[in-house]
Formats: sequence, structure tokens, C-alpha cells
Amino acid sequence: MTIVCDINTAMDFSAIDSSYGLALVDQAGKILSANPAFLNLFALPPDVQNKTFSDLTGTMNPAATDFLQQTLAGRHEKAIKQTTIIDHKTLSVHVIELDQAQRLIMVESSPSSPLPLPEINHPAHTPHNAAMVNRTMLSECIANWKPDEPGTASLAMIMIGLDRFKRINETLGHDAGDQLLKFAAQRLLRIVRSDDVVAHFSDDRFAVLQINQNQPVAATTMAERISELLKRPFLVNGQQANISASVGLAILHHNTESTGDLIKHAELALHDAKQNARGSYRLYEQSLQKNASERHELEIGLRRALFLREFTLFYQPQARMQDKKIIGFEALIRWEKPGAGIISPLRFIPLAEDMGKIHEIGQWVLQTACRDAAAWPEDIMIAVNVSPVQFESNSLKQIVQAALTASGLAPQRLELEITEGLLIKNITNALEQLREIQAMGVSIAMDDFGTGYSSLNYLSSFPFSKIKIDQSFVHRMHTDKSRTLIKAVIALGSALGIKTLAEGVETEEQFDYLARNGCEEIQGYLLSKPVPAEQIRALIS
Amino acid sequence: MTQDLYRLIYLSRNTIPGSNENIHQEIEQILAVSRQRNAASQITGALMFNRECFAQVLEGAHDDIQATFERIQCDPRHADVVVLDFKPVEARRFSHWSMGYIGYDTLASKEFTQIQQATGFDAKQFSGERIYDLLHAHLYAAEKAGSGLGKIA
Ligand SMILES: Cc1cc2nc3c(=O)[nH]c(=O)nc-3n(C[C@H](O)[C@H](O)[C@H](O)COP(=O)(O)O)c2cc1C
Repeated sequence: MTIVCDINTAMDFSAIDSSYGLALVDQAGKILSANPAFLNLFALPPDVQNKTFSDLTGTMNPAATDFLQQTLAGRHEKAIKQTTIIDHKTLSVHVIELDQAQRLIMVESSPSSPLPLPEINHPAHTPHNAAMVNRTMLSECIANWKPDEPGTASLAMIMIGLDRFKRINETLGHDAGDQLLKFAAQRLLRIVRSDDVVAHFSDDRFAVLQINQNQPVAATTMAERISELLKRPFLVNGQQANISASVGLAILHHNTESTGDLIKHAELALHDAKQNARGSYRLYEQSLQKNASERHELEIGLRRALFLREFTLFYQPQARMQDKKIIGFEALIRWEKPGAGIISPLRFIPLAEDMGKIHEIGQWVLQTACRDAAAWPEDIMIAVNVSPVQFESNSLKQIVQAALTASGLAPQRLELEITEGLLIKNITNALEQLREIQAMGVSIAMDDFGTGYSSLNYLSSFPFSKIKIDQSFVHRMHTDKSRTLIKAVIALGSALGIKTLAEGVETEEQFDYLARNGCEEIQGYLLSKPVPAEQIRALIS
Repeated sequence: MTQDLYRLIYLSRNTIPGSNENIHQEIEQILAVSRQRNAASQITGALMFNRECFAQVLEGAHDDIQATFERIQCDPRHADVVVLDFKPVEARRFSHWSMGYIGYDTLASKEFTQIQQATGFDAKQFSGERIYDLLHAHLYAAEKAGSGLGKIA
């Protein structure tokens, strides 16, 4: 640009009608003259003459005053150029030293800001040019975004969730957790481009917004880089800490059509990445929205199902191998959702666990099962499943006690079925609760054995009354592997003095094999499918 | 605790592409930066390289090691960083070196490779102490022999 300006005569800038903002300042930073465009760009009143920028602090955007003051404060040889973003305008400021006493400020404003980032006012001061913004600012950046050129217009939202971060807080303390967050943030800031926006989105979530880059390549490359980088060990409080990060991506014009959906879609993709494989990344697609809507529907339904009495208990008999005599029943929950039919527990129990609703549901199951069983003959047992989550409240013992008291059922007739998952999380606490419940006279069975970690340690860590061999092994009994496992579990049980029960027995052949190998009890369609409480009398007589 | 003396030992996989010469240049640059910055934050230590991998020992105040390690962690010139050891120590053993270096055609580096092969490249089986002793012994030996440690072997 060429601006002809004879500083000796033309001291008055007010008549210069230019799109450039022009101002002349003296050594002390006092404004000698300014043109209308300058006043306009900084929203200044007309009477700025002989004022310094700090005098104008009240009238101007503080970010602008700061910026101009800093620019003027530096000692410059001849001319400098600085760029900033104020009120969503990108301003390039040139300061030209005219002589010892006067400096000319020229301001150029580009109409569409490639990066409407409210936080960054001193880009020259941070080595990586990026700063951490918050969630609100991130939303503003998206809302204010305008495509640079129609062809390259794109926005990509990279949502990063730290996996297992809660565990770091629990095991190393909150102080270590905070440090780790700080380091994770720094790592992100180090690797992003200077025009990326990085946000601390929530507790253990960060977000990176890529503006007008080559997509989807830029976002997927960044996602890979981020998950690799956050997998690397951290040093906190004298210890090594390892986490991983899952990443969800939403890219404009790649399944996401509106900028308003970017955050939501990236969150859905992140949720999916976490569910499927931690430490991986996932690009949003329509089916995720559908899954999420279904889940949402189910959640709403689940919240009122108890109140509306949509749950019922069915009971499946368990019998002695030698004479097929029924010795007990397992209580199985059934949810009939109006308009949707029967929803499998495999679908709604994990959701109830996530929502924390499992505590209420579990309590209802215990109460109902005990009450029903109290009406059966005295030698018939009742087995009730309990989820690992129910142990987290530390009140399971009281809930069991209350169910027994209210129903009048003898504790010896109640058996709780737990899974290995319980013992993996916090074995000491879990065992303590189990011991207390057992001390009341209730027995504890190990359910689904063989499907999880199947550590022998778990079996010997507690006097279980029963090992239940998972039905998947019984169904696959034709394979060598399943047969070997079944035999091993039965042998293990007898060595440890624990009874074994095979689930899902459907054929005589399966029955015979199990009988031959010393399995003591069975459950499955061969005996009976699960039945409502009313049909139990008929089954036992 | 943050001012306490700590020692860090880690292994990582070299990802510098290109010719030996290029790798040498990059390592020269790493060493130059390391020596300058480590001296400034009173960090001492040693780096060993055997074409495949880096092994590094850093000694210094807890927080200084933390900050340096975070910078190193973001460096794209290596990957698969495995921390073998991070613990408080009584005294420095590399106080002579802001960053001593043992290059790939040295005896120590060959031993490093042998240990790696013996453990089937499984970093978990690596003992931090072993790496540490190897670096220490060879740096001293090299110093006694008067060979230029600043140079890349
Ligand atoms: C194997 C390896 C070891 C390194 N060791 C150090 C070191 O001891 N000290 C250091 O300051 N930088 C070290 N660096 C270099 C850092 O990764 C980083 O490039 C340097 O500290 C400059 O960081 P900055 O650009 O963020 O300021 C090492 C790099 C690699 C690949």
C-alpha cells in the first residue's frame, strides 16, 4: 500500500478518507491526529487529540488498548507489523517511526476473520500462538466463523476425552489429576497449528477446532497424533501416570451439515469411540445420532419404568443333576416397555448402571424376589443377580437385610449371584461387603464364570457357594475348547469344595455330558424356560 | 517434594527419517538444545543412541525434570516412550554432563543393542538400572580415555 503523507505539513488526519485507520502519535504515545477510519475501527469518540491510549481505556475495547500500548511500547528500529483480533475483526497494525518525535500507526482491517478468537490478543507473546479458551468461547468461534473461500470452507471439531482420568484422581489424588490435565493441555497446545482453537471443554475433555484446513485429512491426522501423544507417560507428583485419549471428530460437510451440530456430533463420535475402543478415534456418522436417540428414548423410559410398574420378575428353575429335582429359582427381570415390547436386560441393565438407576432397580428386584420366594416351600432357594455397581453405594448389606426382614424369608434361602467384574475393580472393598452379607446367612454364587478374566484367584479369594458355568460354553459344547473349559471348571469346583451349576442346558446330550463329568446342578430350557411367579407352584409339585 | 532430586530413565524409538547424515544432524541439534537448556535448569544426564532407540537418563529437581520431559514428550523425532524409572535419588551421578552422549558405534551402544535383543525388544523387561549403569560406566570410561564426548561418534 502506498500512502502519501507529508508529515511536516499535513498534521491533520481528520480529512483523510481512507479505509486504513491512520493515527499520528508522539513519543509519549499521545495521539496527535487520527482519521475517521481509525476512530471507527476502535469505536473511539472524535475528541481523541492529545490523549494517550491509556487515557482512553474506558472508551475502548480493553483488548485494543492493551494491544496498541504494547505495540507502541516496544523499541522498534523502523517499522513493525502486528496482527490481532478484536471484536471479531482481524487487525493488522503497522507502526512506522517517522522521526524521534512521531510515529505513524496504520491499521488495516480484514472483513472476514479467519480466526475469531477472543482470547488471543498478543500473538507474539506465546511461542505457539495458541491459548486455551473455554467452552463458551469455542461456541462463539464456531458461530462467528465465515468461510474464507467457498471451495476450502471447512470446520473440524476434534473432541478429546481422557480415558481413565477418574482413576488417576482416585489413585494418585486430585492434585496429581490437576497436574496431569495441565500437562495434557500443554501437549495439545504444542502440537496444534497456530490458527487452531483449543478449548478446555469440561473436566476431562478438550476440544480442538480446525479452521479452513484440508479435511478430512487434517482432522484425522491430528486425531491420530493426539491419541499417540496423550498415550505417552506423564510424570506427576514423583510418579509415572499413564492415560489414553479417545477422540471424536465432526467435520463440516462430512455427515455434519450445520455448524451448529459440530459440537454435538463430535461428542457423539467421542462417546462411540470410548465405547468401542479406548484410545481410538471416530468420525461422526448418522447412525451414531440414531443410536444416541434410541438410547435417549430408553433412558427416559427407564426413568419411569419402576414407577409405572413396567418391570416384572420371571423365575427359572435350577435342579439337581441326579434326579432333576428343582431346588431353587433364579429371578430374572423383564421390562415390557409400552409401544416397544420386551426390552432385553442386556440392553437396559448396562444403561441403568450408567445412569445409577440400577440401585433402585436392584432394590426392587431383591424385595420382590424375597417376597415371592417367601410363599414357596421352605427347601426352595431364590437366586438374585446383583450388579457390581450396586456395591459402590456401600449399602447393599442394608438393602438385603431390609428385603429379608420385610418378606420374612430365611437368609439361608437367598443366594446372590455376582460376576467377576465386581472383583476386578476394588477387590478389597467388594470382598468385605460380601463377607458381611455372607455373615447374615446369605450365600454368594459366582455367575458367568469363564466369560471374564476367570482368574483362579477370584475363586479362592472367597467361599463361594456355587460356580455358574456360562451358557455360552454349554452351547458350544461340541468344540474341544468349551469341553475342556467345562471339565476344568467342574474339577476346580470339586477341588475347592464349590458346587458347579451349568446354565443354558437345552438338550439331553448336554445334560449327559455334564452329568458324566460331575456337574452338580443345571438350569436351562431342558428343565423349563423362565416363568411368571404364578406358575411356580405347578412346576414344583 | 518438588525441589527434591529425582532421576528419570526412559527408552524411546527413533523416528528420524532419512540418511545417517540426517540423523546425525538431528541428534547434534538435540544435543545442542539439551545442553543449553539442561544447564539452565540444572539438569544433568546422558543420552544413548543405537539407530533403533534412544535411552536417556535425566537428573535434577522434580519439577525441572517434569518440565523437560514434557518438552521431550512432544518431540516428533521419537515415539513409544517407555519410562523405566522415575524416583528420588540421594545424589547425582552425571553431574559432569548437562547431556553426555553415547553414539551408535560405541561399545556401550552395542551392549545396549544386545540387551535389547536379549529381552526381545520388550521394554517392560528392561531394567532401568542396567541402562543407567551402562551409560554411567561408559561415560566415565570415555572421559578417562579423553575422547570428545561432545562429538557424535
Ligand atoms: C531423544 C530426545 C532427547 C531429548 N533430550 C532433551 C533434553 O535432555 N533436554 C532438552 O531440553 N531437550 C531435549 N530434547 C529436545 C526436546 O524434545 C525439544 O525439542 C527441546 O527441548 C526444545 O523444545 P521447545 O521447542 O518446545 O522449546 C530431546 C529430544 C529427543 C528426541
